[in-house]
Amino acid sequence: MLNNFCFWFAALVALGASVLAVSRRNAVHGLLWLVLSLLAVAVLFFMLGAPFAAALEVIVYAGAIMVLFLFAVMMLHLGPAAQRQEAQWLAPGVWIAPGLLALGLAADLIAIARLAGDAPAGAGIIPPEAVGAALFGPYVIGVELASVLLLAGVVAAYHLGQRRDRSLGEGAGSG
Amino acid sequence: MPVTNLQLFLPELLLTGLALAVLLLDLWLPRARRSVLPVLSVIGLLLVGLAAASLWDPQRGPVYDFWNSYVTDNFAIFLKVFFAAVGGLVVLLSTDFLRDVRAYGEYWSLLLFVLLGMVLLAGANDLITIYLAFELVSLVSYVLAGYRREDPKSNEAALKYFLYGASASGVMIYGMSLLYGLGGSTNLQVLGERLASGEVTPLGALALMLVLTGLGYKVAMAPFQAWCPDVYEGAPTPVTAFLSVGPKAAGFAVLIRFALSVFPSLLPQWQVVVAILATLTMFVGNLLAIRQQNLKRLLAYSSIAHAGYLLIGVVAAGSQAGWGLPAVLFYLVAYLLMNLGAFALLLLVARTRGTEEISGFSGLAQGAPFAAATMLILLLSLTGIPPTGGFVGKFYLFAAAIESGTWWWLALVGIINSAISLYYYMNIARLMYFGQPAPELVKRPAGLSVVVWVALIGTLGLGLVPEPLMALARQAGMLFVGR
Repeated sequence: MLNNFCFWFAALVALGASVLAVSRRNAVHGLLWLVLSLLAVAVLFFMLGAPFAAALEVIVYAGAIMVLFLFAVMMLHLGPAAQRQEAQWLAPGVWIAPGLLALGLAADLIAIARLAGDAPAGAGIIPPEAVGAALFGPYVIGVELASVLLLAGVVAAYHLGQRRDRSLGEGAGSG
Repeated sequence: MPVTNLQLFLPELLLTGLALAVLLLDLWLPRARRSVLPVLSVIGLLLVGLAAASLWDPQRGPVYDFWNSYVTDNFAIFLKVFFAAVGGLVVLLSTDFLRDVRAYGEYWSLLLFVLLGMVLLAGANDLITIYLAFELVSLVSYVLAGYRREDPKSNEAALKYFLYGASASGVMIYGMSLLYGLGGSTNLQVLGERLASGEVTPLGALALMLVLTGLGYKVAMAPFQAWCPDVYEGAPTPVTAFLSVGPKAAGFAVLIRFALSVFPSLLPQWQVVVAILATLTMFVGNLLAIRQQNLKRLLAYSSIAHAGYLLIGVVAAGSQAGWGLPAVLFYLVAYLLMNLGAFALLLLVARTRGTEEISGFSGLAQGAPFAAATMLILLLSLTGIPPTGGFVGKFYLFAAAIESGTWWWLALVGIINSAISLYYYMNIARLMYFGQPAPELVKRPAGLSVVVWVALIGTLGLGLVPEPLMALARQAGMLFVGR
């Protein structure tokens, strides 16, 4: 009963937050909802008996988005006008709803951990070793491929982010 | 089965090593010596192709390795050699273009990374491997399309390609997650068995449609072809040549393996869908190509039409694997040769006359009779007129449709479309031979000349002696027969 309620709460938060993350016109607001959606998914992982995956979800995804957030705030907008704009972006009306829902998720998590005991909804609790064994066992090609993908992504980003004058030879601008 | 035989993974390892070596050499070599990178790439790709070819063994069935997530069979080996050839030819096409934009070396390593993704797609037997390899191909393709950052059209191409491609990936992975939910595995064979044992659910059909949509975007199948002309026009010409053959072939490889492994139980259903889409793709490509004035746009629409012809083979492959798959493989090789040849000539003409419009070919026969005659043969091949590889390829595709019984009408649609395409291809030939004479082509960069010769000899060779390649293609297509 309690498990069910906890599941539905987290699932609905995940769905609603995802929809809102996509539909916000302001990217910063969208990111707020995206963080919430990722936290809700992490709670779902926890319920399924995968605490390690849940922790990774929070650290890697939610953490990465927070860093992205910081970068956007730090690099793109400087000066007092930008500060006013940021204050406006993060007006209480914007963050109260996601904040309350995040608190709800935390309560959800505590309720599962304290009250529902050790009976996860999945096949059992999956320890970190099992995750590692799966990654470097059956999915080893995927892991190696992901590293190549990231390297190619870095090279591609380097090309796109280069200063323009490096490309200014006689051929530049000729279309 | 865990890792048993790393030797079978040799082409992939070599290609990865090559890509990394080129990346590092670009960093260390002084600027003046970097022209060695394309040479190194071509030699490396030659070795990759040889390594893949040395694994060819008509007797051996598929070997599943890496816990069944990767398969080495003759179908995959055929495609790996094919991709190595694509890579080598595109590198040769690109040397001249990069001299123009003051080369940066990351072009070569990016190109090799895409090729690695394509090679992995040929053997991928697991949803996760497929998805990651697809992302590797897509991600780098977006950047290659926008390689000339100072050119707004190139930027537009990259952005459009990215937006369409990202939505397509999203749709595809949504279908894959449904499949994982239904079958409880990411392995294609296991999924196929589990889906076949139960009855066909609407959810299974939905998953199939979603994955088909995602793949349809990548191979520019109608009605998902809208990105294609703009991207092909805006991208640098060698990249366009690459996109029109490479990722498309990889998309077909996955489409075939996926459809035949996972969905034997939904066979009649997906055949109907693909047959309808093939018809639509052929008509859209050919009818819209008629009015194009820009040759790159024209070749983009023509590549949509050719994807339609290839889909005929995919449909036929479902019915009886005897002819459909070999026909697709043969046609891919023929298409590679004739299409890259046409792009090489376009580069030559654009270099001399400074235009990518069809009018640039006007009167080419007076100034450069050899180039005009080559272009004529390639155009005949693209239309499907003997004695060219394009004719034999289309013949096999249409024969496969007729052999399959139910789908004979696809051959008819294909023939009607070939007749339509005759108009716009021959329009170029008319301009070349009867248009206003123009100055001859001043300069022939070595790389382009090699591609033109390979395309000419290959296209005529496949037209006159198709048997050797067809025998290989038949062995490669055998795998799915005994399944």
